Amino acid sequence: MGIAQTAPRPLVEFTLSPLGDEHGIPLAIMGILVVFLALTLILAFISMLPRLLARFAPPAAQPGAPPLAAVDDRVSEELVVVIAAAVAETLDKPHRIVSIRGLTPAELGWSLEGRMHHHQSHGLRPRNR
Amino acid sequence: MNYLTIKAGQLFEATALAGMEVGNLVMILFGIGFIYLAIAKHYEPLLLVPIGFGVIVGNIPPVAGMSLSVYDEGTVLRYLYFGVEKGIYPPLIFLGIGAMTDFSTMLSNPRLILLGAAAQVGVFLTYLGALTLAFTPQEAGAIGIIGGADGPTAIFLSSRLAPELLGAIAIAAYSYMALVPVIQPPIMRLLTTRDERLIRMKPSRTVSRQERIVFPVAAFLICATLAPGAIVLIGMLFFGNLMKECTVTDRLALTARSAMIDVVTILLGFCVGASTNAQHFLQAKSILIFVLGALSFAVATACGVLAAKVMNLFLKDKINPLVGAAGVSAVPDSARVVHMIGQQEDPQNFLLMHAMAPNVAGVIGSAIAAGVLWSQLTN
Repeated sequence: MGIAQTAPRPLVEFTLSPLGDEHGIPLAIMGILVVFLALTLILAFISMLPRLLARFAPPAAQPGAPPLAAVDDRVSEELVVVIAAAVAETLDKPHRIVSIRGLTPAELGWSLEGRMHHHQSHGLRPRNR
Repeated sequence: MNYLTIKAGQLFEATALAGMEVGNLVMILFGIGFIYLAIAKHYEPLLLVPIGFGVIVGNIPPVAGMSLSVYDEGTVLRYLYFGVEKGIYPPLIFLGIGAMTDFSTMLSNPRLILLGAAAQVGVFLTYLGALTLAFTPQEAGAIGIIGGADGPTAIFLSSRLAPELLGAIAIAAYSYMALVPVIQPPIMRLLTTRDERLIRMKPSRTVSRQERIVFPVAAFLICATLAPGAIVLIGMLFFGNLMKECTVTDRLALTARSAMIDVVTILLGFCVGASTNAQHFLQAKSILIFVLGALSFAVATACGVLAAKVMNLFLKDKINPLVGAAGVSAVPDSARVVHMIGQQEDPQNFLLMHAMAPNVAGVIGSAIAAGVLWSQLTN
């Protein structure tokens, strides 16, 4: 009566049969689809998020946004808006209004401005030209 | 004289040398190698130092009658290992990761999310490869997730599906994460042309605080609905992120991303290392796991790069395909590698922030992949 000889188990076994099982290729395809679907839905949601927030929530001030311009109490809100619009129209490029204040009589601002305007209208040139 | 000989013999039997086998010595050398790589080469030192020392501790043979290892009931190491075995540590690490992750790069450039999804194809291809090598579906699932390049995810899934392979899978996952700068660059260069590597991407837009707060809640709902198995990991990830972004729980977020994650990382790394006892670890299966793990990592990297190239066929604003390699979720190492390779071609090309988008998407993707595998294979 001989003892049954069992063949030594190879270090690496190779078989294609599990691939066709329920836990083979079908599971792999399902897994890939779920990952892509979840991340695609997140993508779609993120893409819509700024518009959704703009509709349902007022925009919050950005933490890195520049501070509002310091405005003199004597300057009315309407005047601030007009000045801001004039600056935007004149500069026509990104800018930041740091402060707006009314000039005191001592500064003779209007007189100075008028004088400068007057001189420029004469087309003055430097003497050495 | 005879008395002295007997006493010397008894003394020898009472030392660890009596039970020391070649396998233990090999593993101790592995542990020393990990510590060397961590200290001298700065390869993931926060992980490799605890793991490496744990490997040394776990391979000191027990003395007869004394229970010391993680596999012996009632030992201190056994109690610490409980967190690994029951999958407690990985979600806590995800909480800390969430509290330190900035999703704004992903929010500002959502199309890059798809690269994080593409890299997860490597997980499932490796799963199929492991099946063909006669691993059970549960073992194959635990091995495949190594390609997600996410140590906590790999440990979590392995503890759920194939606890007997936990040591080998954890060591493989963390080894390959540490070797990201070695494994990824050749694949990235092989699959891209110089012109593609020179592509400069548009700067990202600014993301509002409201977006950053809404995102973790909404993304959790999407992920948990589609893959309920991912609730534990994804839930903790987004909970941590919400604590960070809402700014009213700064103290909690600070603890989660500093003290708590450090404590858990120490325990997790040390216990995983201590579980690599030569008698459990040095098997033919472990070698196969290392081979499949490397393959998984390489395939995941390649899938990310190729996905970026495919997307470029349809996009007006091109994506630098190198960014696709960051789809594996080794945060932030793979993003750093992308940046480094990009700068080798063009020192003025700054890809780091762009690469962070697929990188964090990869964290979400690998957690979802783990959830799918767990829910489908747990029975």
